[in-house]
Formats: sequence, structure tokens, C-alpha cells
Amino acid sequence: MDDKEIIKKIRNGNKEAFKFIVEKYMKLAYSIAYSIVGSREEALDISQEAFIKVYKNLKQFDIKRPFLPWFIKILKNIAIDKIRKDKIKLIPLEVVENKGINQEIKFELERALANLNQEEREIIFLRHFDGYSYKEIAEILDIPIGTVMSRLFYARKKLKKMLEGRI
Amino acid sequence: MKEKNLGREQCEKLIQKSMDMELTPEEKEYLRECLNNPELKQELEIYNKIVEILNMTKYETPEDKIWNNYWSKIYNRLERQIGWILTSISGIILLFYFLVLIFKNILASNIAVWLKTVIILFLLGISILLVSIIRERLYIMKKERYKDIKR
Repeated sequence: MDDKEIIKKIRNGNKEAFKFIVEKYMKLAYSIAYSIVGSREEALDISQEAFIKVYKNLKQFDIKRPFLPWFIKILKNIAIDKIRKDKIKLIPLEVVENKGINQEIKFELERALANLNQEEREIIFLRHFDGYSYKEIAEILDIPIGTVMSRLFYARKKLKKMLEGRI
Repeated sequence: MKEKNLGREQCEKLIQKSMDMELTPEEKEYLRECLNNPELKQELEIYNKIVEILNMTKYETPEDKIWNNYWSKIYNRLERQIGWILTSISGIILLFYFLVLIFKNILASNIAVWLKTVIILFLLGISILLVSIIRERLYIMKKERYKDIKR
């Protein structure tokens, strides 16, 4: 069942359809929110708030357009609004494979990620942490594949500049 | 097309694309040419190192328990918001109705003017306190929803 069908069902008051869309996108929503705010609790809160906002504003959604980019836009607006006052200093990470990665390298990466701008960090998260392909990222963010490649290019170039000689 | 014709930035783009396994056969050929340049070869090694580190780390994710309760949290929040809206609207209407009723009765009664004033002030004070408590509850619901989660 595609998103359009699900949205139509939600508009008709189908609670299960709303649950389906929440469970389909909750982890992606959390990932994007985390890339913006760098806090687990805040990211959870923001992602849930975004789903509630979507539910309340579903009547305004143009069914001819894809749902996901609209949802992501709402989510990002909420997240950006929350961190407007505080600049992120670190993006806390966990080590999953401890092959020579020490605390110092981890800290450098956390700091370097925090120094990327929001769009660059988001693309690094989607590509490297969530493992989406160029095509999938383009669909999620509703941008051309060329833009995905160019954002990734500049984000990694920036990371390289910040991490060169430290890793 | 040789590296010098492609330009350094083009070669860097190909290096990055190769890390994502998104190169076309033609681009693979171009990249081979680019990597004849030792500086660009070194560039590839640095990018590979960064990607390796990125692959060995991940961002903090909630435990399964939180994901399992994710939907019910949203549902409860929605339900409570609707509940609070309905309660607040009906509460304010009822409060206003009873205050008017009480004021009317007090004003019509034969008790002393000073006592009438004190009773009216008391009732007004209670109403303000009630509104303040409702507002505080709404604020707590909004700001401290994750107080039970370990930080």
C-alpha cells in the first residue's frame, strides 16, 4: 500500500492507517531530528510532535504530492525551531565496531559533525548512518540526485578538512 | 579523459562516488586515470578512512522498549490534547456560568456589602488559581514528557 492510499484512509478516520505511517517513518524521523538537535530525548520528542502536527494538518496536504518530503519539512521546521537559540557543540555517537577507534577519534568526529551545517549533517546521516542510496535520499528530501551528490561531496570535503591529520 | 582534463574537483567527486559504489563503468575508467596522481591517491585514502570511521560509529538510538511504545505515546499525546481542549473549553464555560450565577445570588442577598465583596474576591481568586493550575499542567505535559527517560 503506498502513502497516498494510507493518507486517504487516515483522512477518513482510520486509526490503524495512522499507526502504519507512524511505524513506517518513525526511525527516519528520529534520525533526521537527531541530526539537527543531537539529543536522543529531544529527537524523540520532536519526531512525535511532527507526527501529531501531520495528523492535525492532513486536510491541508495536497494528495497529488509525495507525503514524505512534506512530513520531513514539518519535522525539520519543528527541530530547527527548538535549537534556534542553542548551537550544537557535539553530536553524540556510539562506537559499534571497536577496530582501533579510540575516544579521541570519536570526539573529533562528534565535533566535526556538529560543525557541519544542518543540510550537510542530514545528508551524512542518511548516507552513512542510515545507509540510504542517492536515489532514496533524493526521494526523502525531494531534491534531484545531482543535489544529493553535491551536498554529500561538500559535506565530506568539510569533514575531511576538519579531520585531516587528526585521524 | 585524463585527470588534468577532468580537473581536481571532478576527480574528487569521482573518488567520493566510488566510495558510495555509484560509479558508472565510464566513470570508473576516469577515476583510474585520476588515481595516477599520487596526491589524489592519498585523497582517496583519507576519504576511505573517514568513511571507515563513520561506519564504525552510529548515532544514539532509543532502546527497543521506546520504539515499541512510540505509537502509543503519540496516540496518548493526541488523545490528551483533544481531552485537554474539550475539558478547558467546557470548564471555562461552566466556570463562567457558575460565577455569574453566584455573583447574581450574592448581589441579590441581604448580607453586608463588605462580605459580598470578600466573597466575590475569594471566588475570583479561586478561578485564577484554577486557570493557573490548568496552564501549568499543559506546560508540564509539553516540556517534561521524557522526564522518566534516562539522559
